Amino acid sequence: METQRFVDKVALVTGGANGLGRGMAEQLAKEGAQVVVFDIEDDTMEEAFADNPRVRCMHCDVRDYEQVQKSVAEVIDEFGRIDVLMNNAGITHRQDFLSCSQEGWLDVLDTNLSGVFYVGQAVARTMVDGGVEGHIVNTSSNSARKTIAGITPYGPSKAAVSMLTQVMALELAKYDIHVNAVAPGTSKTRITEGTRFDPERNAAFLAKMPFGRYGEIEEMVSVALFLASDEASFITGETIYEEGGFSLM
Amino acid sequence: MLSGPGQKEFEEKVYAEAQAKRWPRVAEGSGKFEGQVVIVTGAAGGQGEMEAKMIAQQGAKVYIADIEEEGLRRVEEAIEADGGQAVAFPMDVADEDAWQALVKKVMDESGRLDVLINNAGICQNGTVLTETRESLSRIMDVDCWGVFNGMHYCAPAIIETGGGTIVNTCSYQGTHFGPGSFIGYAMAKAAVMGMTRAAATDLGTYGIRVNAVNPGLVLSGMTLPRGANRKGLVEASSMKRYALPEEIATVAMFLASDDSSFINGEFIAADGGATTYLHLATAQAQ
Repeated sequence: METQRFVDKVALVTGGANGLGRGMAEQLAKEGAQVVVFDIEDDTMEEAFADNPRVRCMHCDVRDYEQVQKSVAEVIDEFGRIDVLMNNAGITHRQDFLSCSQEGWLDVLDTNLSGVFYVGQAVARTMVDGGVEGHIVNTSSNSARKTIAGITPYGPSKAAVSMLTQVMALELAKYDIHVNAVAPGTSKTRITEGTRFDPERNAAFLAKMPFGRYGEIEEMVSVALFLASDEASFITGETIYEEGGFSLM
Repeated sequence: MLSGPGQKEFEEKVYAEAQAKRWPRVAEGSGKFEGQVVIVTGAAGGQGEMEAKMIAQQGAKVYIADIEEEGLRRVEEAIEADGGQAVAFPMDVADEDAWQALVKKVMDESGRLDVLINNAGICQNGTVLTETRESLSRIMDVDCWGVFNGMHYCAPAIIETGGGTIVNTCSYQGTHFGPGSFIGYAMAKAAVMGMTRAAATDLGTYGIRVNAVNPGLVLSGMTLPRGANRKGLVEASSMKRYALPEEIATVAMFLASDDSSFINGEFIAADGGATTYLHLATAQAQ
């Protein structure tokens, strides 16, 4: 039996056109929420949710401060409130430390860190103004505590997201707003294709996994939705690692 | 007892506020544990009682263990009155023979074991100056060896079942300290953190996930009579309140369920944000 934890809730998912974000949006809608998705990949987004009346797609680039203010205001105009924010949009590309350009560095930091701050702040303000006891779930990564070579800005950006999560949790607790983070390990999303599709790196990764497999998107989504639900009512400021024990070995 | 001025009134107020807010608001029976067999230790009260009750509500047959037989019978009756299945098994988690007897009973009667919730624990005040190896032997037997025993004797049965989950109970006292604190408790809980990680790698290949919940201040039989004025600790958490036992039970239940199927070897703090706050140590000293 499917639980219906998000009936009458409005949920915003950033980076919802693909992978984890798309999974979050689909499951939130399935559990009763009205969902709004922000992404810059308009076609992918429209196609993904074409048959889903509970999901509204909006073009929003989380790197753009002004655009974020405008888009969040539009959500409030249309749906009145935001109860759940999945602050999820993120990118990575291969960049060795010695050759990483300023542009490449800023590109990752702008999306993964500034984007989480811009959207988080804009949405939290609407929660405080509207007296909404909301839940914010930021997407961190197991790269926040352990890294691999060749993705220089990614780990630092995600470590910063985990710390920003603590800052937000501490300052928003008095408004009964919960802020936590999920930290997926190597799961079957687009961001890990570089590893999964390279036979050598793939084998090296799987050898380090106690379960000997990648995570499925559904099992990352279930953690995020737990944190967004009232079942996690005494958890705040936490980063929950969902990586099958990868960092242990 | 060092109960501070207005402590009782303060605690009653916190409890009333939490109840008024209906924390936690749990979705009605999803049948998450339908057909499963679960052991919960320390189930005669507090969060163990809530863990047993809530998991039984989700369809599991729950074997409840505790040294306090009277409380255990009360919980067993309450679960059965609610239409659930519970079997009371009075035991001391430090007693290896009792663990063997419990696992044998579970497998003989039910033929499977899916989940172990290692929740039983005790607490005692004392510092490195006042405690001795002898004075710490009981708390180490229960809080450290009790957890090891549970994993050691239950894991083979869970493997035989085809995989499952183990949820240990740590505490933020395993990592965060203040003067005048509880050295035995901290030692035992730090050991539980270590054995949780080790067991997660040992058992991962058998399809058993091992995780722990780190509760903050919970309104329960353990925290309430504990003497020290806890107002400072409550103030130190971002949420400025105690947890209800139910709010820890939902986290243990999440870790025991398939919703956390890719989480292994982790500790989830359910502490109202206490460990995100830099002033925790100052608050503990109050």
